[in-house]
Amino acid sequence: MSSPTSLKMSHPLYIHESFRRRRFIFYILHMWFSLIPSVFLEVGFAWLWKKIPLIWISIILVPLDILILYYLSILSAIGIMRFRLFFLKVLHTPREGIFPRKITNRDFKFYCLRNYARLFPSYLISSTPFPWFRRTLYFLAFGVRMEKYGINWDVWITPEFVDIGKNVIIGHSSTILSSLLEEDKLIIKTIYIDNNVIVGAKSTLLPGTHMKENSILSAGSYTLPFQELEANGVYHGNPAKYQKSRDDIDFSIDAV
Amino acid sequence: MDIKTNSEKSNRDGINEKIPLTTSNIYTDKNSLIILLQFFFGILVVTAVNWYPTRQIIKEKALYLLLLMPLGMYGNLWLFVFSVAVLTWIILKVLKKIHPIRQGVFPLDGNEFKFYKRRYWASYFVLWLARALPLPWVDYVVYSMLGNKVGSYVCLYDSWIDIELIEFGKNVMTSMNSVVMSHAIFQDKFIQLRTVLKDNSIVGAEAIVAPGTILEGEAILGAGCSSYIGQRLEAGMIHLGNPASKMIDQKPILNQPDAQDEEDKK
Repeated sequence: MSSPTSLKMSHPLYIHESFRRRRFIFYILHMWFSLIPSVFLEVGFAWLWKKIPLIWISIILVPLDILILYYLSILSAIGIMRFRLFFLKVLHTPREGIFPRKITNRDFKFYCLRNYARLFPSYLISSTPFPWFRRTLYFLAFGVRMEKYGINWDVWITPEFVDIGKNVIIGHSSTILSSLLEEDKLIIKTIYIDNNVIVGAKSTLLPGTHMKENSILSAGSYTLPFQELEANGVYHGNPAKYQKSRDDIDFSIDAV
Repeated sequence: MDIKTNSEKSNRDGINEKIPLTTSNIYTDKNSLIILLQFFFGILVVTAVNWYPTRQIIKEKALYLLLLMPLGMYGNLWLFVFSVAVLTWIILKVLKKIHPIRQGVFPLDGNEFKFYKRRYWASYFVLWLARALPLPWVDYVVYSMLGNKVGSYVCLYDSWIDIELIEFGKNVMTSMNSVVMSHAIFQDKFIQLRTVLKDNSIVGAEAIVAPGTILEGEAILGAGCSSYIGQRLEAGMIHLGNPASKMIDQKPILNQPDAQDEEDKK
């Protein structure tokens, strides 16, 4: 109720169907090897269970075991993902630009493959009720830097080409897309979000958006690709248009 | 179809009311550790209940255990969720006794926001469980256990709804990806207002209901539209705009002759 089940800080992934089919074995292997450390943990836990004479101590250890199991499998999944991404980046360096949306295109192909490598750890991080270390894990996995008090968890963020500054607040269900599929083209451009910016709930940032310092994007609005939002400006609308300076907002509620 | 502009709204001016800022931002802090307590309690209850019967069955006939496994797993899921829900209900009762919920605009570093964060993290885990696990109608029961009024035949699809200070009448529907909030944070202020969705009202897909909004009976907030803080949406109208400023009467739409009726006449 407080959050829908289908949207939990996963990132918008696009994987072409042919890559999805061909590289499926890698996905299975990724899952397989990231769960192996937890198997060792379980064997150790079973040994401990036999050793401890008191039942209530071993019962108390059960929830602790589940928690450790969760974090351990995430860490191993991230490790394997970084290993895969390292090889993909050696083969082809990710770069900004507008590319044709064809399987034969190298940029498009490696864009899909990078997304496929990120699929499993992204699922593991986003679909549990435990909120701790998510920011750290997300930074460890995808390199998107986040402020402690800034970002709401129910946000879609692309894992690459995003530059978020300090003291940024991002409302829930908003989407930050640094890559966009438009007809037969793939657009990749870095999104810059400078310091002290507020992004309202359910707003969408399209690739190449530059939100300058202290600007506000109101809830429910989206920006155009390559749009620049001025410093201290309040933007609202579909697409976002300049409304007022931030200093002019007087937040007093008489209607109550 | 005639489209009227809301006369009530035109009297108010000022950007503060026209822009619906509903950014909520509850970060992970030490209050979230209460999830650990709830998680431990739930597992302990499940283990304690299962301990004796499982041992007995293993001794007698292991085949029964295998046959009863699916039923046992599903039953344990119910048990886990409800034990956590009861614990949450007790925690919230205590928190509300210490500091009752008040409505209005408060400073962000005051007691109101501090206790809101506590209540939020106390109800986070059980709401996640009720939404993510494949159990029917549990989320409505849990939601009313948190202290909200939930009428009969309420239908809440995948939508963000705040944890408290929300009233649902009969037959209310909130569509996919809509947001119904009763609190907002703006710079250094914390706003907490009761949001009321009266009988037969509908919130469209992707719509945003700002804190303090009152949807009168049979009011509809259109898809992708949003209301501003403290807005009153008139009964029997479809409200459109971002923020909602236009109104369409529902009567001409309802009175349109059915295609089936016209065929019968022919």
